[in-house]
Amino acid sequence: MLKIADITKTYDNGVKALNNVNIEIPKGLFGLLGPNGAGKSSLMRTIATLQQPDTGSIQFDQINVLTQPNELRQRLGYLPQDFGVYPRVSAHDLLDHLAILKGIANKAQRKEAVDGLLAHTNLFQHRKKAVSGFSGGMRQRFGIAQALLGDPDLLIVDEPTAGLDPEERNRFHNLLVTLGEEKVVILSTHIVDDVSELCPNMAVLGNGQILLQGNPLDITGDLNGQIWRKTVSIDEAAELENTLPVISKRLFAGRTVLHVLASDAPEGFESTPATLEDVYFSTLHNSRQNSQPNSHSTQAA
Amino acid sequence: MFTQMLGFEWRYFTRQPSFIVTCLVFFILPFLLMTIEGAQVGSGNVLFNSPFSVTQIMLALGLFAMFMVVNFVGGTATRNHTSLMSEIIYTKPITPFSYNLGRFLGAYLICLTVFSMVPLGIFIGSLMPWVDGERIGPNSLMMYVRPFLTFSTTTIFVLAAILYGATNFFKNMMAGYICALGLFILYVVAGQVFNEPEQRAIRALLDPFARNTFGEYTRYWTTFEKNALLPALEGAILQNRLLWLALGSFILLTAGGLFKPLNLTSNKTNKKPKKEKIDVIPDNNNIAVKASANNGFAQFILRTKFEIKQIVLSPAFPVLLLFSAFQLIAGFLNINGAFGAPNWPLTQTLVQIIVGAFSLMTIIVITYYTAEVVWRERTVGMGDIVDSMPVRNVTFWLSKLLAVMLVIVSLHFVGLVIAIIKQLLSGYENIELGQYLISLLYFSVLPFCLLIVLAFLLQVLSPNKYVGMLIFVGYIIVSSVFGQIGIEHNMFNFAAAPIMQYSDLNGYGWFMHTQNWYMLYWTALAVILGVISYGMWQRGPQASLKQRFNLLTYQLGTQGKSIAAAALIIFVATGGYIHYNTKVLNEFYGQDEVLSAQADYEKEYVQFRDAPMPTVVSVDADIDIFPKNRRIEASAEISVINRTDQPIDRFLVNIPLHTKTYEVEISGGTLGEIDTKYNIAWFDFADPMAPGEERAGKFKVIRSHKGFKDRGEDVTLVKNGTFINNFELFPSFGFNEGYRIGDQHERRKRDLEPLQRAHKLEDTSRYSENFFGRGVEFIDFSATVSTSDDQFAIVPGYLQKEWQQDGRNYYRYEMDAPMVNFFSVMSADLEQKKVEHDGVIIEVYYHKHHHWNVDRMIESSQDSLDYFQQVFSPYQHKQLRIIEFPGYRGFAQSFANTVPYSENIGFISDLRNPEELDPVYYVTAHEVAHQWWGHQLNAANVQGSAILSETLSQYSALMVVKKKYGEIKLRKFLTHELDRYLRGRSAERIEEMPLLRSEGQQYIHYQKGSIVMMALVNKLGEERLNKALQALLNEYQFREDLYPTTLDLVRHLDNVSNEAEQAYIKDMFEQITIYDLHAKEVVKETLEDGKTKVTLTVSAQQFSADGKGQETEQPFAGEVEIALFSEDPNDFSAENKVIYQGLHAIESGDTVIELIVEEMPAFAGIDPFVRFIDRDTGNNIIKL
Repeated sequence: MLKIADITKTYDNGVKALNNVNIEIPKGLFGLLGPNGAGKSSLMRTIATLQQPDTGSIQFDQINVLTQPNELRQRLGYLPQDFGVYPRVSAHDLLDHLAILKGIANKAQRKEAVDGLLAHTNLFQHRKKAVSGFSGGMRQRFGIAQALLGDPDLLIVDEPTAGLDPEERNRFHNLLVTLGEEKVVILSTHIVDDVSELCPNMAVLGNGQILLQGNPLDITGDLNGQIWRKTVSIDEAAELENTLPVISKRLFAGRTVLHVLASDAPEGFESTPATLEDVYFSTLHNSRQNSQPNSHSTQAA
Repeated sequence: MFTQMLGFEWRYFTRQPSFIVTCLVFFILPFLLMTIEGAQVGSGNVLFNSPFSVTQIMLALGLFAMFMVVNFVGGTATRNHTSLMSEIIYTKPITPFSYNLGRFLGAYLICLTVFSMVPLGIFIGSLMPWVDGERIGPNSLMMYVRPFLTFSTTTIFVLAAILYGATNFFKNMMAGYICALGLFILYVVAGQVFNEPEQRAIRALLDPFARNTFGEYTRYWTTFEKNALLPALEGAILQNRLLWLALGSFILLTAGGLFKPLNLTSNKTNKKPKKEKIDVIPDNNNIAVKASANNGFAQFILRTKFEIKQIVLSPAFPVLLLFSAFQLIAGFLNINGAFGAPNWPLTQTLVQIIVGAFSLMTIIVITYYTAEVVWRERTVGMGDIVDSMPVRNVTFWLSKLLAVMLVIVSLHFVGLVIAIIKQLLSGYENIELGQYLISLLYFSVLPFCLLIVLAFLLQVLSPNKYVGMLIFVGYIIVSSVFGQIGIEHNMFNFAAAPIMQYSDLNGYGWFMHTQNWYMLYWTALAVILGVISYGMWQRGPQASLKQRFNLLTYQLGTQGKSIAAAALIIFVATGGYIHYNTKVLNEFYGQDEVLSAQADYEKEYVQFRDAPMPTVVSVDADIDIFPKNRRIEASAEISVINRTDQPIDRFLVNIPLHTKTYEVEISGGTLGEIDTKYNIAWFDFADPMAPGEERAGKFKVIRSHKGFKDRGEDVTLVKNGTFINNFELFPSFGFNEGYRIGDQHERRKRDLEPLQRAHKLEDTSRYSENFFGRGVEFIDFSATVSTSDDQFAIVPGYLQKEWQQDGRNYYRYEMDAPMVNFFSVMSADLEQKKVEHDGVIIEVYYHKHHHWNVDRMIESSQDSLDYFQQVFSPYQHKQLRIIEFPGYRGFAQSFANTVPYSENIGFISDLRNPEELDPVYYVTAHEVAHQWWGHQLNAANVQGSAILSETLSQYSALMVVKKKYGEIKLRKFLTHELDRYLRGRSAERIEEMPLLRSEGQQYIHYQKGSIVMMALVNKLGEERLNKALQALLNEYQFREDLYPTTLDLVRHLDNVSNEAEQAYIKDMFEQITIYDLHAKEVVKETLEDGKTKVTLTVSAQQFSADGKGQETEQPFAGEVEIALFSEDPNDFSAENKVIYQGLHAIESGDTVIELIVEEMPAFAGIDPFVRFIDRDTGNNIIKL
């Protein structure tokens, strides 16, 4: 459905944001996972017609996204990573305004859709208040509502759940799953759980490159039996990191839990089932290992 | 903490690109002002880098610095807030005062650093090799440092303090912009409102930029002083600086929040939350509504309404409208004509005031709003959402464009409403709504709207709004000097057209036609720019120009491309048509071309300056005027005589302008080929004219107009109100003195000798020529004039016959008295008022809406005729006619028994307030006086010739005015004259001459002449002075063989004077003497017998000046008038009484005078009736 081929983008300041990105995205939810600064937002904006790459092409259905941005915008819903709003305009008025811009001309239909979306995002009771006065989470929900206007065929949501409380996050996830079947939904995030909960397909973006792509279950399964765990003190952890391929390290009750990727169990480690998080971290770990000779970055965390 | 914060601000700003860019701008502007020819500040002999010019440039850019200061200082005041850093900063342990003060001073220092580029730019500019070295003086450090310290450091502190206070207090930048605009308007308004001589101290005080202050301080500075003196921190400058420093500090301390503990301002408003109905939450709505594909129009309407609402509802908009209303109300308070007397609020005048008041402000508004509106989505952070909507670029562009245009339209509507209110309040009955709409919307708003399109394009192509603003302002500044850098044709200056001048007589004249074509031309270009703007519209935060350009054809679509193509065709076609009209059908010359042609003419033909030529001695003209077609077909039977003692075998003939068909026939000769470069030809006699020989001849001309012109329209021949004189209509003879270049620098550049402005007073060979020039004498005159059936036609002479033929009006005029060969031809449709006064018929022809002062003109004519006939000689005509003509020219001029009088003076004066001077009565008397001084008595063509015509007419008119209005009112009049004289000598370009040798210098022969003659009449008495003038007149009346000079005037004055008076006369006529008389102190004491003793301390100084204005003090000893008044002599409404008036001997330094009077006086004064050329009349009157 959405075909991204050979996309490369270097910014004026020399930062290579996207480096030969190739993905094909079918209908349904697609998770784009990556750490801060990996190029997720650059990719999202490029697909959302807001930025032109240096090279490459993007095809959605029959639309060449890069040369026919107006046609794509008819079918696009986009939630940017962060956004502001016009001052002094109420949630209802602003959403109605955006609905007209989206092209919903019929007044009755528009009212139904606007009210419905406000209800779905739990903003209906706040609809007469200015969006500029909303809290971060409410504003984010407004962003979600506007992205869903006009029943887009391509929905791009960049870090949608940032700032949402768990209840709202669940509500949003449910909404996405309901809507997601007939559309292409690209969900960019750095939260692994979002992807593992929602997405039948995913990719990991690091340093502007696609590092991994596939079905979360499949790629997690590939790592089964290779992930080992040990709970140690902070001092020990530092020592082990120098000797073993530690892909993640987290605190649990004041002690450090290390995950190591290896075919055989290192000494004192126990086997643990692979999770998507392990996949994600190991991918990033590998990517850093590969680029290490060229950089003098500090030890992988 | 303080120094760290200061250092932080410093480092923060110096790393911003805007700092570098602003520094560059403030360097380049003064640099250009020094180096672009024609843009420089010094005129005449004032050096480009004189301390005066340097200070002027610094003060002018101080005004412009406002925008730089508001950006830097406002940025500092709001940065924590806008960059969302406040929560981080305010939780740090810092003392508010040193933190805030450090930040403020850091920002101030940055502004000062930027502004220090100005003196640097001036200095470097003055060193550039292409700048005329003659006009650059020695540079010294103090020349730059003193004005910088005196004015720039203080002005920028005041601006910084006030703007910091405002932005800090309101927590947004807009408050800063509004405050800056407010200061600007205060400056403009104070400059307009307090314009009377006695109010100037207030104006000097009220100007935060100190421009008016410096203007007052240097008001009478002569060339010498401008080149030599530095402004000192004293007097008005000191007061002004202290006032504003105090005000600035006060605002900084109160609103700047320097001591305020650092914490967040609450965003919560005090509004009580409205009780909301608990609605049923719709949980079942269909949210999957698909968009319909074609929704462009609804989107456009929505966006337009939205953009308009955003502007109208923002607090800046009503403030802006209020400001502009305030500015206009102030501008409308005093609609002053001559001598500070008010004019009626004509629609054309009010329109001019509105357009003038808005011209600069509109540019500021366009710059600000365009940036705000184009970048609105990016600024509020909604850009990504809105840009990804399926909305065509054209929708965004057009809706935003219309919203900004609406702002400009709104401003002008505020102007319109206030203007109409002004007219209604003034009791002006002729409200011309149509004229308002056409003049404001079509001639002013439309070009501004086209500029908005350009501003949009620049914003669209710019990486951010500040760059866009800067480029636009830069373009505006550069385009304002297009004329100086050789781009003079309006076709090459975007949105420009010939500047419209309205006349109640002639309506829009040809301007409607030119405006139509130029606006079509520029609108077509604007459409192209508009198409490019929306084609290149930025969607998304990162779209580079190249990428947008790649998508240009896609974004335009066939529709956009065909619109652009159609617009291009119209643009090229109208451009071609304008070119054809202005440069093919008509001639267009740039300033430089004209000057070069003038220089060539002089080099080639000046040798024939005194070549013999015939003199016209009789004219019988036949003139047919076709006002609708702007065409005159004229012929004249003439006879010419050889007045010289040599035979004439050839002479030069000047062909009039706009005259393609012409003939000059004089028996025995033929007119040769025309030299089209100068429009002149030689007339060759096969049979030379012997001395004293008289021959008959004929002129024939057709004056007509084709197409339209970019400049230099013929204002003499119009649809209603034609007024043309014989030198403009018919060919004239001899070398044309008036075509020589007058400016000494332009002459030097073209290797021409400095121009001798007049022949030497002692050059007796010129005593047989009069001041109209060589070959102009008294003639026998008659004429048949015809015009269309709705107009009448007038030339000098008496109407003998009037008839209609072929649907046209015919008039036959014949003159029975001697008349100078200088006559007017007029044709118009006007009202007439006619009275007979002692055998003289007085007629006034006036436009039906300009009826107010007709009776006053008649009264003045009657009083003048009575007085002049009584003291000088009989009036030579039986008729006196005053005829209004369109305001394209603003003078009144006296022809034989005929006085054309411009619609812009006199006719429109509002004389209802008895406190004001009466220019109508005075100007009419002056023109009537010319029937004697100028028509009965001519002057020899040497230095001082205008003294005999103008100064004596001034004197005569003032005597008539004095008889009607009295001495005290005359005082105000003379104060004005004195002010204009002192300013005139301050603007002198070459050299000030003494009265005796005035070289066509108006400030001498009008203004100084008035003062000197009134002082003289006070000294000699009316009877003796008039006797002297009568004797002069008797000696030279109607003579053609010998004309008088100022020496003859002085001779006759001496005849009626004693020795002391003769010395005084000599001093007045031969020296440039300036006095400073000052009433310093006064004490009053009531004596036992009920009388009052007044002790007055006065001081006196006398200076003699050379022609460049260098003054040296002389000892003063003379009799000066001292007077005591019961009321303020400046207040005419009061029943003022002069309690005491007497002459006292006064010497240099202080003199104490004791007076004992019966009544209690309220005011005392030295020389209150302006008998001395006193350079400060403001300190002559003192309150008891």
